[in-house]
Amino acid sequence: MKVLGKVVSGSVDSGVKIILENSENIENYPLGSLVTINGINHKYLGIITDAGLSSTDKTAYEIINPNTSPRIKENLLKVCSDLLRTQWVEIALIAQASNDGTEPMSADTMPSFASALVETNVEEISAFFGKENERNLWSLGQPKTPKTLLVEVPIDVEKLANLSFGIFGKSGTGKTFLGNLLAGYITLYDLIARGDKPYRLLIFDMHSEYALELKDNLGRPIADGVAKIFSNYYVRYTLDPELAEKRNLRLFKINLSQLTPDDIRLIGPIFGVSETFLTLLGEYRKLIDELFGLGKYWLWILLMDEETEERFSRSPEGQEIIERLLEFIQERKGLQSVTSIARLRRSFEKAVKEKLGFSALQSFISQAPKLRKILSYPVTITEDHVGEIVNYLTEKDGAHVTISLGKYEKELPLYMLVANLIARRLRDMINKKILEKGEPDTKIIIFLEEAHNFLGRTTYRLSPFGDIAREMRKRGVILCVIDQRPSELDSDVISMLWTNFVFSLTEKSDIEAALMGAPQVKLFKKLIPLLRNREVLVYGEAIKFPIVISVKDYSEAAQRFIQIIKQHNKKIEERKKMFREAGLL
Amino acid sequence: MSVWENILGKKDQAIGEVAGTEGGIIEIFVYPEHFSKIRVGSILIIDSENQKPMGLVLKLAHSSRYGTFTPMKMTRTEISNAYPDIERYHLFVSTIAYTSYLDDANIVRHGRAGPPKLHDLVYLIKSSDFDALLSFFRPNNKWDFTFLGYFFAEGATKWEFRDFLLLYRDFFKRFENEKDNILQTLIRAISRAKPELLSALLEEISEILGW
Repeated sequence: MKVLGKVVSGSVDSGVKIILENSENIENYPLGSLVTINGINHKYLGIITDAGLSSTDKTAYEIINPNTSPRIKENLLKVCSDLLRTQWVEIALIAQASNDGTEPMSADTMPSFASALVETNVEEISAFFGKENERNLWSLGQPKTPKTLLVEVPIDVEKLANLSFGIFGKSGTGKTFLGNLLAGYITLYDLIARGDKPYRLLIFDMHSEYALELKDNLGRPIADGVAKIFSNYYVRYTLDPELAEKRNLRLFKINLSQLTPDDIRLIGPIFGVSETFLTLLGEYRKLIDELFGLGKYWLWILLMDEETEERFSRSPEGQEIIERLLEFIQERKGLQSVTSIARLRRSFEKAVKEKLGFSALQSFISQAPKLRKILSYPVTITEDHVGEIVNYLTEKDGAHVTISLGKYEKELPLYMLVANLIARRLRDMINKKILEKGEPDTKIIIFLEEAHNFLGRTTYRLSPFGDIAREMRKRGVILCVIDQRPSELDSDVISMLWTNFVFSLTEKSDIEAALMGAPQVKLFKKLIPLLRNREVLVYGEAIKFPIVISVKDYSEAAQRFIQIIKQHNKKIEERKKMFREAGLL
Repeated sequence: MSVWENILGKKDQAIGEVAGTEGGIIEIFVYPEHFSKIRVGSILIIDSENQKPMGLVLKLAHSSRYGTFTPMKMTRTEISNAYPDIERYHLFVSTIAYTSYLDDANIVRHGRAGPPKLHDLVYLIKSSDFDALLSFFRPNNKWDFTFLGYFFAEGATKWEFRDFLLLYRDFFKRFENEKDNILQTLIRAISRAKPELLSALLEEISEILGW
């Protein structure tokens, strides 16, 4: 076996320094690559975390010394290439296997002095990381190695889907591709090797790349999203009416009657609403209930001025909402003669002044209009799409769910409202099921893009996702936290992530946050900014050892998904036929 | 007659004799009439009993044998005419770095054999003696400059090296077609012997040999 270098110094914690043989070209050792070191008792697997070249200054200077002739410099280079430079690589030890054939384990010993660096091979990688079995182990992609090796490293989907995990990386590094890949694997695992309870995925699909198609940097579709491929197993919602009609997705509307003051408090800062107003929201709601018995419709009354009412009445859907709202109002004692919501709102204003004081009124008048944009979102007063979704997720014969934002993809408040609404109802439903049956019927995995909006340092305690992250893991609800700014997440959230996928990040604070639970952080953080697109550092519960992987091409994976699902459906049909013939169906 | 027999066989051609030796340094008493033929960098060979020590001149010294000096205010010719035996009262010394030896098979080895004895006769390898120089610089038909290691170890600096190059410049220039080979061997030897001087020495080579 060709020796590529020799161990000369280092430690288990701070990395191993290897001097490369002079015949080796340092350019062939990219950071993040997997390498093997043959020790005396163990074979070690490591990741290159730094590489360098050193030379004596004087000798190096000679190469550019203007007083030395080019011919001499040329000959100097030929003769002294050994002397001119020392090529070294720094390796983070990740695993070791005893020569007696025992199971590989995390590296806790140091290879002895002058241990040989050798080329890693397919068999070794498979021995350390296992092989894809299309049950619990599914290929994540190829490991980064100095020379390309045709070997794939699998992820344990069973372990992945039982504990919260995170996907971090700058925009355009491959988070959504990986998200679709993992969602596809979990869907297949659930179909092929389901355990005691079905898995349900809830995917908040900001850019419609899970429900429809993944796109390249120019916005051109590349491959079908996971929910489109597995459309029989997913219910796909969208907030965009045009998209719903054009692409045959279900239209999701927010029922404003389901929103609480806490929901508005979470999005208030985005609209620039004052802290005082947000604090008073509970009081306003209470007053609406006391005055009119319409606490449930508090937000409608709070936001619906003459102009908005007029706008609503110009469209059939808006007109219907106004009519239904007025019906509810007129059902209340003493409000039979009310014909305009905006007029009712004026009575409310008077009451605010009398009961809560002039400053509360001032705050209401100046701040409430800032929230009026909510009424331009797809809203409803009767439908309960949140309830539908929660049922799909919690019932045994339910389905996975995606909610795509469509044309609202940049509307962060809308995304937050929807996500918080669903999360709260889901939390309540699971708690109810636990009270009724002792445990829920399904395991739920929530894919949450731009997660820091829900699990940030300030929002974590307010958002229902905070409760889910803190309390629901043991009840079968976990999160897939997807974010480009992990440093914005509350540190509690990061510490709850058991498997982490870290694409390229450049901000120091983001790198530190993303590597919070990683071994040998000092070493790994050097390579994170240098990862190329689609290259990801994976560490944690679902992978045997930390590794940098070039994520599998999603288009290929999508083709495989289609094949597997066809085979699966064919098997089901054959079984059904068999049962029918046996008179059992 | 071999090139070495030719040099060592003529006793009257000896330029001096060994006056002392310590470690890698040999002191030569130079006969006054030959003193002007010797330069820093000159290669000398000593006719010892077995192997013949060889070395490069590091220093040349000329002083009064009895430690006194009287000014004369005369030209050299006037002094020679007035005191024809004056040099009997002077001391001419050459210090050489012991770098090589001629073995029993008359092959030059760059390394050290035993020390010479006092009064062993010393001969100069002239810078025009092509065959002898070739045997020294290219023993066994391979360029070999490892003797420079001993030269530097005994105190040679870039200036002694410069003198050495100037002295043998014409010899090396005869090997234009082998210059890459010569340069690489030279660089390898310097890198091993005196890496901290590499830059300065390469500048000298550039300038003097023009390669």
